[in-house]
Amino acid sequence: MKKLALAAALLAFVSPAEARTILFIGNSFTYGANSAVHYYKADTVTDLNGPAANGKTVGGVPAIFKAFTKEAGLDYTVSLETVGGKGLDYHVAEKRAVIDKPWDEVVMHGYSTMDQAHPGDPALLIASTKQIADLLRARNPNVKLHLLATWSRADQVYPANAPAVWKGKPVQQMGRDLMAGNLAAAQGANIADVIPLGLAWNRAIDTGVAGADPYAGVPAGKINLWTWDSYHASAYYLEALMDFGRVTGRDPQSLGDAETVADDLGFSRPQTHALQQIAHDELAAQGR
Amino acid sequence: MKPGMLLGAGALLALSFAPASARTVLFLGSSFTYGAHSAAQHYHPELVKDLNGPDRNGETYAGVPAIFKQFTLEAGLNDYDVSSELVGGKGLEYWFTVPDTLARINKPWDVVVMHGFSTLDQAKPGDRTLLLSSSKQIAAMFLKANPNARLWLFATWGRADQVYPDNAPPVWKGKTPQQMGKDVQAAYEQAVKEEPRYAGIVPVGLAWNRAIDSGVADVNPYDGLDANKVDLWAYDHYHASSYGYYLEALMDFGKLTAHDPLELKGKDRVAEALGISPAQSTALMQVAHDTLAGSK
Repeated sequence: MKKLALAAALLAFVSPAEARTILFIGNSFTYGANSAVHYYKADTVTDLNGPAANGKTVGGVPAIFKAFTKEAGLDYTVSLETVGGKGLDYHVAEKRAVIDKPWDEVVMHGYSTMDQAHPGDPALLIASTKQIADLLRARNPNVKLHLLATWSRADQVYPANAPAVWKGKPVQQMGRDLMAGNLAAAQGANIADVIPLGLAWNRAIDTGVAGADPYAGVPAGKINLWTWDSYHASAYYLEALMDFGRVTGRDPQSLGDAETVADDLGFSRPQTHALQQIAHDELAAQGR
Repeated sequence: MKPGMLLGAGALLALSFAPASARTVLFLGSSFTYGAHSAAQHYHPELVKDLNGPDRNGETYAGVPAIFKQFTLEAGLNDYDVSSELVGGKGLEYWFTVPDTLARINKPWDVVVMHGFSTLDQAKPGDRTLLLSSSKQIAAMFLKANPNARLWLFATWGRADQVYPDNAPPVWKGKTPQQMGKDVQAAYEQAVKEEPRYAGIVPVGLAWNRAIDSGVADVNPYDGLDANKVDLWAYDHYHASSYGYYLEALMDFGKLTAHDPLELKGKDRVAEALGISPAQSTALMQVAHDTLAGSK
């Protein structure tokens, strides 16, 4: 009897009919703007917004997540709904028709400064997180919601013409403020999980894996986490590792430094090892 | 105008648009063409035919041939039929040691672009003897299959890992990467002198030198990356980064099509897909343009 139950459980685990559905809601920080991640393995995920003007659909971080789960022997059906430069308020107002479905898991995030009109003010993030959580739970009361706290933008810190809120502060401060804003938003919407990506980003800088100031160049042996605009990421790989860790409960280090996505994107094995270590350590520090 | 001339022009037009008359191009080379250690390796593999078929991950190589093909489409050249035969770490002599592969490439191609090992000879770095003999041998093979084939030799770049590390082999150790690029170029120039039936050289190494000398690219990746410069090398300081492969493909485009790489400005979509900014893309096009202007 026990054996039968185990067999049934195993069958359920591997059967395509039992794949968990996951939706990624976000903007350029999820679609992987200004990096090779943008169109990476787009055929492995469903872009709910369809092809863009250039005829292409997004692969982005969701496609990396999908590849990780395949490597780990897990079965997720991955969809995404991303629009550049938007917060969760936009998705509630304009994209309800495509996201209003009974998902098993949703990973989502707001605008990179929390509010484009009022940088650093969490009020809009808090309100819109509640709205989108209510919308998604109305369809599936058991949906697991993950709020992704994004990274410090170097372009908000170093340039002379940066807005006042984070200008001249340590680069890690913006990431800490975003984490605090997302924790408040999660609490308001009764969401258990805030994915601490911004803190992982800080950890990469603090431990010397990554450079702190891309405007000064990149120190020898370090990674530049940002892409050429010092705003978007070059290390979307780290984002996908953090999503993978929190959504699946697996240790990002279990993927190993020989996993294929890193090689596809041009990361060396030592760089891959370091980024997986950062993800592991940050998730461990947050009690997971 | 004579009626015959009009017919001739019409026939020429028909030829250039008909798939049956597509120009066949073979890229024959190693990791320096398939785009090892960069996202270029997987850039739209469906644009080209990888004669080796899928690897153990079920994937075919895209790399520089696919970027070249995309450039031709962006320039309105719709008749390039691009194939590749690429094996890591090999020189031109290698193809004569693998009969099955040799049979696959021994075809009447319209255009072939090919290159030897990055140090000219893996066993004897800097020694051009093997390059000279193997480039002659392979030219004879392709010209026998198609006497009108246009054959190009791709002169590769200076490798930072041959210059800076303490354990680098003696031949280029302590010199500049530009010197290695110049030495490699000189060897290919001799190859073309000895086999004048080559259409010419694609001077990629000289383009790298120009990118470095003009401040677009960093000269030494071992001491970090200067602000506002690109690193042409991958993490191993040996292969190219997406920037380096992009520059390689621009040079191929310029030489093979005789179009100016700057024509792609504002049209190109490869750069965005590889994470290259519009300003970086334009700078690399300018480097390719200037290098081609200097090599005519």
